[in-house]
Amino acid sequence: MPTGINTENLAIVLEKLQNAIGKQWVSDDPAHLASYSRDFTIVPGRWPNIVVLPGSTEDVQKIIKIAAEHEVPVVPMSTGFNHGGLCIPLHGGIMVDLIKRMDKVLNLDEETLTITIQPGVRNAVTYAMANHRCCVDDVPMAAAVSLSMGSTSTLANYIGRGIPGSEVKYGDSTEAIVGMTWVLPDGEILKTGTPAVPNVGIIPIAYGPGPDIGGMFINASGMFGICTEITIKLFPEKGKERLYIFDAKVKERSLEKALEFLIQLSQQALAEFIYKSHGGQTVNMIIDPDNPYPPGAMCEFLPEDPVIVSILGETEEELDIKEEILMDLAAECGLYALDMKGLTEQIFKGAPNPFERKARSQIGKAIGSVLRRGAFQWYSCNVKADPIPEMASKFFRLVEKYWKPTDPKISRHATMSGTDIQGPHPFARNFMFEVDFWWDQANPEDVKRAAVLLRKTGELILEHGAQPWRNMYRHGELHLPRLGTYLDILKQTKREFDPNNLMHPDIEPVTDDYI
Amino acid sequence: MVDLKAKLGRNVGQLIQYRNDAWKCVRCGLCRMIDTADVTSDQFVDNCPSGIFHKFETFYPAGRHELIRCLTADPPELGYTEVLHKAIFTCTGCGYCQNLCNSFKGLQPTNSFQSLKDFANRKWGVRSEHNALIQSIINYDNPWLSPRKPRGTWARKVKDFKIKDAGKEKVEVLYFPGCNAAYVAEINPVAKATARILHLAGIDFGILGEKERCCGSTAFRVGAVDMFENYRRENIRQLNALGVKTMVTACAGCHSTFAHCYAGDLDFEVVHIVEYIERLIQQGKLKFRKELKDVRATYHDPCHIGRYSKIYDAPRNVLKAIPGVTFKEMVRIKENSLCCGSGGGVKSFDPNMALGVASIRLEEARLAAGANTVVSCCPFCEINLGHAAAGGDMKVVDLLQLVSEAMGE
Amino acid sequence: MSTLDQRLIAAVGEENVLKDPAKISSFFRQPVEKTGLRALLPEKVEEVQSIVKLAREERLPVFTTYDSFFRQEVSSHKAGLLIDFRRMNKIERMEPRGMVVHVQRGVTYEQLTEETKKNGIKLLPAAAATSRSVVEQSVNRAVNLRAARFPDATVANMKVVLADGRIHLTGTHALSEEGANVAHDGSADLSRWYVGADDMFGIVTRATINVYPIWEERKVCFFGFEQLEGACALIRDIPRHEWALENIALNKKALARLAGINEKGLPPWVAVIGLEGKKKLVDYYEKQVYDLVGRKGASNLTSKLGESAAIIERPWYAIDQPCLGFYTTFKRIGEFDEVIEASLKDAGSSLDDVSRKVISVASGGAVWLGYDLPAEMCEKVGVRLVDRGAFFDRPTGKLSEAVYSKMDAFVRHVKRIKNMMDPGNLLNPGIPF
Repeated sequence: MPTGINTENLAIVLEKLQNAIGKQWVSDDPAHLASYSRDFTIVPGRWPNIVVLPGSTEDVQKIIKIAAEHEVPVVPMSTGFNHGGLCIPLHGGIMVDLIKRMDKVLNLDEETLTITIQPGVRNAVTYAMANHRCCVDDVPMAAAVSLSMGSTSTLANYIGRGIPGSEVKYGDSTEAIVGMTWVLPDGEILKTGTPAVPNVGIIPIAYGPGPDIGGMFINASGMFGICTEITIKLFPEKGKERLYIFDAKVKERSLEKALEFLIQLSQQALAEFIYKSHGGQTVNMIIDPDNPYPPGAMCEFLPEDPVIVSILGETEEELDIKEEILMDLAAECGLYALDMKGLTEQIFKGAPNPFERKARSQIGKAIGSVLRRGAFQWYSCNVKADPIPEMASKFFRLVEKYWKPTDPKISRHATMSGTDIQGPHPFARNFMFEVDFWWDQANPEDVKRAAVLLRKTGELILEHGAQPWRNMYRHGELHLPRLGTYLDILKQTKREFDPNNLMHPDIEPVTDDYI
Repeated sequence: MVDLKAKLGRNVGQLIQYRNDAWKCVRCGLCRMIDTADVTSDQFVDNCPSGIFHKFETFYPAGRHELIRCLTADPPELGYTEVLHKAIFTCTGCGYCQNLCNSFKGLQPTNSFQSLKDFANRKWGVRSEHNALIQSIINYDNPWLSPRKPRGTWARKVKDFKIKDAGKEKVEVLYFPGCNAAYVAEINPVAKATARILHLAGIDFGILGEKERCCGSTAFRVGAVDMFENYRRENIRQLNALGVKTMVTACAGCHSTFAHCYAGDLDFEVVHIVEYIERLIQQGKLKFRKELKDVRATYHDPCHIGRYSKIYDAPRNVLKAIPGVTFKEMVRIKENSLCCGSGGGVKSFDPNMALGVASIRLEEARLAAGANTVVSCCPFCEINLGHAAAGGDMKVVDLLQLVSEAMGE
Repeated sequence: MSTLDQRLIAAVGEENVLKDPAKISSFFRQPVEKTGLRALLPEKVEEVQSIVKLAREERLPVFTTYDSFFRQEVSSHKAGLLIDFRRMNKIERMEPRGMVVHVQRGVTYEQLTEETKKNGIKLLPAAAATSRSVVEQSVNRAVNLRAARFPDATVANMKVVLADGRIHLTGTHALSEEGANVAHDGSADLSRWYVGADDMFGIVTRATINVYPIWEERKVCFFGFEQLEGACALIRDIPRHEWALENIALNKKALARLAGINEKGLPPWVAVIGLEGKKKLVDYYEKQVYDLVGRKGASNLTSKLGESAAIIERPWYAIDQPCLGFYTTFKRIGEFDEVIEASLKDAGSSLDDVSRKVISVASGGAVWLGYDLPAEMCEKVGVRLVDRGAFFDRPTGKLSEAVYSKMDAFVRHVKRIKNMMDPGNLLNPGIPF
């Protein structure tokens, strides 16, 4: 474990950091330490010892070198919005706030369809910048923007395996990473991908020469370094969109029907975005505070398993053809398209454009509304299609047991808990199965119950051979020991690249002294 | 049940009642930036003035929420530090975070940070930077350290027509200039212009002159809530006794204070002069006789008539009606307007920040709107932006000044 | 018989241990005379494990190859074990609904295609495949003919034998081979470093390969151009509209060779545009393509060359005829052509004599260029191209020296991983890390 957390050593570190980065960007004032100590998850907050705001890759390098010299942990942070307690410094140390001063778009190129950005560039900015340029004729570009807030860091989402809304078409966001700049635990700067090769420039493929070393940094939660720059692919985004919500004609086995529809539709590769939501999620997207119905009651008459589909086209004719195919597929699977004027006007009220298009930046708004009650639980995993109905059914039983109040008048629906299917992966190879519920972060009893349900959900997922999509709620302890050789290699890698365990120590159980 | 209709500046209570809000902040970061649907580039994105200037999370709403959580814990998890105090008193109260967050999560960040200032003042005493203006209000009924008597001086300099004394004569409309218009030389013309416009429109109006007292906004915004409450009671008594139907003001701060902080207790409606002018133009009662030259204008939405009172279109309609004015918007406008940086007592507490943010705003005017003139409807904005513009090519004027100039003789 | 040979025979069976120089020579392009090498033909992953463990004990290097033949310099090793995977040719599982197949390394493209067709699925053919093995083509990131739409590696999970003989199941297979087929690991995506690594960190014995639907309608269009620029403009723009899956330009030599036709009468360049999908949509996109082609002034050769459509349904092998292939942007094609032209001129030849392929990559944001050159020219020209900024994603021999000599930090990093994963440097020593 790091040994540098003592008053004397930290005072020296503070001074060195101030000299290296600039006094105004370094602080150990308790007010600063408190404001960087917590997120909204069930993971308890911890204070760092020093907060630093670097302005460049070289600044980050200086920070890491000073930290290494004095054996003080380093924890990187972007927006701080995450589902894993990922920015909480478990052992104190230096909190590196990457977004406040490193927020520039460094390059945008419609020839190679790429954009190069710093950590502070947020999804809404990435989207807006790309969308203002066309790759051909009137076809603008767009990033595979993560299904997250418009206010969160694009870079952090990509390297943290953020799931893009356009997963079904382009794969997940890690496949759109062209190159990265990392500052390693020893302070070395490493570039990956084609931008790392002299004179090559940017080639929009997801790997560099030889062995693909970039992967070790993906979803590493800062264990192997800090990313200060990323180049990602952009994609053509056709200008016209149609949005649909499908529901099952006959409610029985609506999830199975939705799943079949997802498979069939994914394998036609014509949708831009597919998302099976649930009533509770839909309710939370209704951002009209004047709605007279209590949110829970609304769930009773919303679709249980609505499937949201977006298709794009350059012409109405193209959209007409895609729509015809879409409707045929839906009918084959026992689904029908809801009347958009009715429900979706309510849902997307205030959003000038449909969900996930220009309103891609509206995702920030839409999802923001979801958080109304407090904190947002979202546990997600990679899984094939077949286990999903059983997993969903078991999740609902967990909700009944651990979450829903015993009052019989309160239905499971009224708790707004439910399951989603995100992704899907291209051609429905896999799905991102997600469970949702919300808790009141200000209510300690609620937080306790949430923690139990989260744990149980994690166990449920693993029992079905479904892999948690990323480091969720520090459940690495549940998950990683099941991975045999992989965990051994991971621990070896940690020993090799960060022998003093300074880079975000204990964010994953990868050291022999982890407790 | 969350109060989804929480209004800015209303019912700001004890800090403890915001503790749950502090827990519920999910650090989504939406409050740091303009509405994500309105983002067009990597410029002009951020929108929390103290955050933009000071950068640390502590100066953003999420950071302040954590301070509230720590201070309301039992025992408190934080004690006094200069940084803590600075984080508390650099909130300009611009309302952007509450305007955005309230409709999603029902939180009231601006109100909670206002309450935080009150808490800090009670716990640690009023800041020395604010002491002077609070004492000035106590002693002189204005924050400008000026005696009461000159409050009516500007009116005595109006020669074309006589302005009635609303304290002595019954009038339909009370014109409330506010402290800035009365005491700040750069803002005097606003008072004169307002009076002229009301006169030309044939409105039966009067002023209180030296009997006018501060609306209490300054005291409220720096967290001297008890003093504000005293002022409020006195003002209500005084103003209601006048028997007016309408109060018109040209000061965004006064307008917001009377319209929201006094809401329900006044026997008259509160209107900002710009809405009046728009109406007069539409009715043909106000005509422009002079074409202005080389005015490439952009409009800076003041927080207190913008987000607080939702008056966005009237000033723009008026500006666009003035002959010779070419108008172009900045990026951060209307609900997204970037605060000038001086509100909430920040001008006196952290003048560097006030000027720094103002400079950023002027840069936006220059780059995004190609403007040579920033027009606003708030004396605080104009003072602060004017200070930042000093020595440069950018002009900062009140809309009333342009209106008056275009009206000619 | 030596103890080593006895142990090898015990591991894989006598008939699968080859040591005769004549037999060893078949694994190299040039004949091998005296040799201490052994070629082994395991059938199961357990046998590969045994080989590796044995090698570790005996401190013998282990060699594998992704190029049908082993590197010639391997033959100079006094001792070592060559592993050939032809016997590991089981298609372990097909998941048509899940759009993946799980195959051992020895499964060839042709073998697999026979089975996938029956299940309504297909593979992506490689454009310069140096091996017939599907696993080797995928793990070594051979550019595929649909790179405009699917530019990245088609491998998901792998079964890797490590230098100490342990097995590493990558991605979600570490948790369960039934649960999901996702390349992502449980924490950091370490497994990606096996891709493009020529087995230096571990030997890939099995892979989960992405497959694609066989759609309702398939159309292939051919358009003739006098100049490369015209063809390139087409294959650059069509993917940006997302109309076609294959966006390729071939010079007449390449087309003739691939299609087995006479190049006489062919225009200098032919764009090959492949569409597939629901019929209504394919018809619509075809119309758009023709509109665009009309605007670019190309000749429509579809009916003339229709029977050659099959060229994009199978891999283009670069085993007997080497292909110098690299990535760049459309704007820089001319720059690199100049370098190659100059080199060919020195050798008394020219670009007109060379079979050339141009494949649009990543929505038309880049291009892969392939030149069929004599082996000795590939390396010589390649080095010059590296200096100018051509991107070789799997440089070998002198090319790798040229590339990696400029990438110190990268090389250091890879060496650290190598040292960690194979401290004895047993797996494919000599690959320059």
